[in-house]
Amino acid sequence: MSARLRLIAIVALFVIVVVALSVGSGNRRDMSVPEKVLVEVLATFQEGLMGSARSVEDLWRGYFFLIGLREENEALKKAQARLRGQVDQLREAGQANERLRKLLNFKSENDYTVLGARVISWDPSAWFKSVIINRGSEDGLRPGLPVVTDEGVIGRVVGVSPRFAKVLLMIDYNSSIDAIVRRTRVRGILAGRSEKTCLLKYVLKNDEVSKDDVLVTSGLDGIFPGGLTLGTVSRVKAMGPAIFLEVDVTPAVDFKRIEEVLVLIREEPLF
Amino acid sequence: MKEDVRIQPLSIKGWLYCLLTGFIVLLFQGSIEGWLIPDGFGPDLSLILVLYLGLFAPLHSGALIVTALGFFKDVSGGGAFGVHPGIFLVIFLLEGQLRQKIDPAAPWYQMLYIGAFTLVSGSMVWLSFYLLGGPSPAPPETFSNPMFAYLLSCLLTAGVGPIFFWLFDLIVPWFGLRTEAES
Repeated sequence: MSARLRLIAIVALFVIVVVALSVGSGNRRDMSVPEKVLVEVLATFQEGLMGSARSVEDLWRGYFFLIGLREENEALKKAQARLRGQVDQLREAGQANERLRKLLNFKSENDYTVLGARVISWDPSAWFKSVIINRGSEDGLRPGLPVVTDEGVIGRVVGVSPRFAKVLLMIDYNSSIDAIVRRTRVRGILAGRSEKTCLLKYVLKNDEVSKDDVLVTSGLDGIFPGGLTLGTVSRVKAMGPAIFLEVDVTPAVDFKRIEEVLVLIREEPLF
Repeated sequence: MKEDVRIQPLSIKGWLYCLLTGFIVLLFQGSIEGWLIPDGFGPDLSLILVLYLGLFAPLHSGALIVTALGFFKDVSGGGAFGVHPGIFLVIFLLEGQLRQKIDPAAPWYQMLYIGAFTLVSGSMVWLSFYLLGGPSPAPPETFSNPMFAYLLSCLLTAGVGPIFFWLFDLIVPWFGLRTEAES
């Protein structure tokens, strides 16, 4: 190939990359067909690989770490009995709540189907925070659905293929969640930064926010239902003459160890 | 690394083996590596493969292959689509300018080479997002010190790089990049 043709080919490649960047940095609704095909193929192998790895891990834990198993079993039985009592109490409270809501003619805010999923791969780049889970459009998933665990918010679905879905974690720099401080109802936008710290933006200097305040979803962004735990305020700092405070938040979820997640499927979007 | 390897045009089989190797590397990097090293500062194996191809692959086919690898990486993860193809392509072309002048045969030399390009790659990620006008992604955070964690990641990539160069050396004949003695 002549030098001129090589140069043209290289320039063409750069043009393709720039176009991809222009399209990719915009607000894409879902993955394109080639992306879906690639994710399907890649994730199928990753699912198999992770399944094998987890089997080996379970074998290791099951047969080689039996020390303290009896004590742990007893402790768990006691905890289970205590929790059963609490569940009964909560069930009563829930039923009373439902009755009151009916009386006041409120629509239930939790019209979600909960679908369990397993994380099968992590973002290969250390700079971005996303995972792929083993549920896709065949299971009713679509972009924009919230993903949570019992600890709190994980993120939201940003792309689906037939059997897998890509989840943007709340700690990713691209993530923004409408949040409120549970104690004072101060509102802000929680922006992802890293596994240990997120940033609560647009909190005015006069707003009441302090360390250890719990942050929850406001339910006003049309994606996450209200009241889901996001994290805890770790630092509040006034930055000189700026009108906003700098508020650091420690995520409630330990993102290093997420394995199983829950996808909240709502029949219709909130807005 | 074989000192007498010459740049040969890639056959169809060579293309397939290069892309398959990249696919397997990403497969491993996204699953097992992410599971074993959850902090996110594991070695960037896809970058190691790009650096290896930069030393061996012909210009036009190598550029296409590393661009494709970049797209694979973007599709399997988050971030703006198109960042890694651009970075891999620039790194490949930079190596093309250097490969006539250097020959990182010794492992310690390979570590320096890979470590330097890992730093370049990280800087380019920051630069690309600065140019795109968005917030900058945070580097992997461990020990509450992002820069320390990022340097640790570079060291780890540089440390395991020679091992993967050796592995890729073993399958160079499959790529179709034969030595003068074998061709």
